[in-house]
Amino acid sequence: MAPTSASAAGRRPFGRGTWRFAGLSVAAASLLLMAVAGLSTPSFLTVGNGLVIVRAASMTGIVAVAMSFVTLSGNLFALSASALGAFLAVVFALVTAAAGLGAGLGAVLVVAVAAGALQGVAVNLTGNPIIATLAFGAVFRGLASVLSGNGVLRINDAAATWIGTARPLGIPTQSWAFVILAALAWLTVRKTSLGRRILLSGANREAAVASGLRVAAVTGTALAILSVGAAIVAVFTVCQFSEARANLFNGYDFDYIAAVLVGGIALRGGQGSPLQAALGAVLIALLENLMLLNGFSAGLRMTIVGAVVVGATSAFHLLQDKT
Amino acid sequence: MKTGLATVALGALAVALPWLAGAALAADKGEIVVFVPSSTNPYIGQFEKGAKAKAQELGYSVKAIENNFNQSEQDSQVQQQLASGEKVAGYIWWPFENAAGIGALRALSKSGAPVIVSNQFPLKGTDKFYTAYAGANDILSGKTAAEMLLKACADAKIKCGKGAIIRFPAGVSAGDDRVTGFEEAVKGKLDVISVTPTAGFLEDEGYKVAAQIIPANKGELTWIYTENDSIAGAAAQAARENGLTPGKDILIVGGTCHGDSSHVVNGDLVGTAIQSGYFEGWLAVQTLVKYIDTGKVEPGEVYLPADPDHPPADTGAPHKLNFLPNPAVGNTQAAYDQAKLWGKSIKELCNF
Repeated sequence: MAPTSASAAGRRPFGRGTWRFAGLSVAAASLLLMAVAGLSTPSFLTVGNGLVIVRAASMTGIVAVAMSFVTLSGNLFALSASALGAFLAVVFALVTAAAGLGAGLGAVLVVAVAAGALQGVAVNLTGNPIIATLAFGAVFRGLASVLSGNGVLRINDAAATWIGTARPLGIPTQSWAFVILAALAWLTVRKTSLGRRILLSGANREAAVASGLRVAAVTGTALAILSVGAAIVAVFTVCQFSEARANLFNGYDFDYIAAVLVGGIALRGGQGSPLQAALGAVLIALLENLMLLNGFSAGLRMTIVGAVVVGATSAFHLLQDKT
Repeated sequence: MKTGLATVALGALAVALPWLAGAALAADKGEIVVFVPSSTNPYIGQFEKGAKAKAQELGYSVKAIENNFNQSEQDSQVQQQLASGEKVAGYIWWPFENAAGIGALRALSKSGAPVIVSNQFPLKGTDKFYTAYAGANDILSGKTAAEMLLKACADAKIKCGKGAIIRFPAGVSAGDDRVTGFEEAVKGKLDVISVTPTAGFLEDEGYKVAAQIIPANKGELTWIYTENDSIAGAAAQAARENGLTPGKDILIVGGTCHGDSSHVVNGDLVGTAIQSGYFEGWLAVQTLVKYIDTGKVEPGEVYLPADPDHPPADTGAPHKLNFLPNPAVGNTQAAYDQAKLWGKSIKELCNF
């Protein structure tokens, strides 16, 4: 059985006050960081750099928003997201090269949903989302390697290039997708029955089961949503660079999880909103941008982001226990 | 219980069958064990292909032991290999982290089998732990890229001044060496205003950095050096998105030819140079077998000739340091199409 400590802690199922406060905290932290950055780094507070930051947050943010469904459903995280992204990128490139963009998009969507559902079955069988998705990560990376023959798969499609490089109204397509998907995800969680089922499954699994909710199906749906998020990022990446490789997105899982954690979504599920994950991604992108512009070394950048994740997670954990 | 035992037996059989088949097909002269990071990186995949092809040609077999870009894992693999007591013709050692892998290199050297280091140039003080080095010279790679850039500055009549280096992640000694070679060559001629590491070696990681550095220094940057063409192509894309035309407003060079060649032939990059993963693996095996055949290592270093048609001979003793050539290639379709090294075209060597 997946973790159900929410109920053990006796928390209220939805705790809106807490997650609203968490969301506001992230927004306030972002504003504070922007103010500090603006004063210390002249090139920071410009429209161009703002767009750069949103663009930098977009790819991580899309997966983080999708990952938030997994966390909210009480299944912690999926450690397979980066490997799944590479596998889907390879599938997309192979099918697009052979049968065109439409077929590539269709194939990647079908494979993504199937991969999510399969992971859902494994999580429900093992009762451990970390182990199950970690193992699936190895499977996906291995499949990507086998399918690509450890080579670079190139595509040559004008429409695909447009998807990857266009800037409608001066804003990159990836940023449009990020904003739209974050809004859709928020609406799904707050206004639909699926959202309520996800929150209840995460907040109090026993109550969810007792009320006739099919928790296993909710877990599978959350993982399928994550897979679709990974597919979107895979498609954008392949379209931007016109190629796919098995080692794409290596090491990105930490970035996805960090965005969810910094956003303040309850680790044990049931509390929070996909918007918080989106804000978390923007906050980390802000921080990364500031450090990059000031010439921080890679080690120092990694240390600071790691420290922010630890600090934010601890603070939100304390906050939850008090409410 | 019975089901469990049957599962274990089947699993063992599944693992053993390919090994038994491989052993049966092994060539007569012995087995060469190659330690490398994962071949999910296409360059490393090419390295393995080259090593296997050359080994087969010379009558040896290759066992590649890959780690998932993790030095601790590679160290453990070395311990397991040595503990197996297996007799091998020799080892090829491509450490994931050069400095952190010294202990494992020392252990390999104590086995008595010859050890050829490849890809990551050996660190000072480790001479007695390896038989010879065979592979790329990353200082030369950086120098070649700098020379291409300086020539492009002169040809394009662009006043090249301030520029940026986008380099490989910290800890990758090849990245350190390329920066060293580049900076030495441009000293007093160009002004390096920033050296920023990426989180990886591919387009997406390069784009992430370039898309932030270029707008922040717009109006200042006249050139960018990126250590490979994958990142260089991403930097060209980021430059265009910021209203800069590569080759006109800003000069970009990667200097190693793996990546999308369209950025070279369309003039986005000032040129490229052939660094072949296939021939790096090929050369590592050739160097090992030359040592096995002669029992000798000549002191000093040798830069193997960049002959377009003929690879170096298999006879004679290897040197202590054996460097792959790094021939520059111009940024036109004709120059690209004509470029060859050791009988293989640039398309075969770089578009993998």
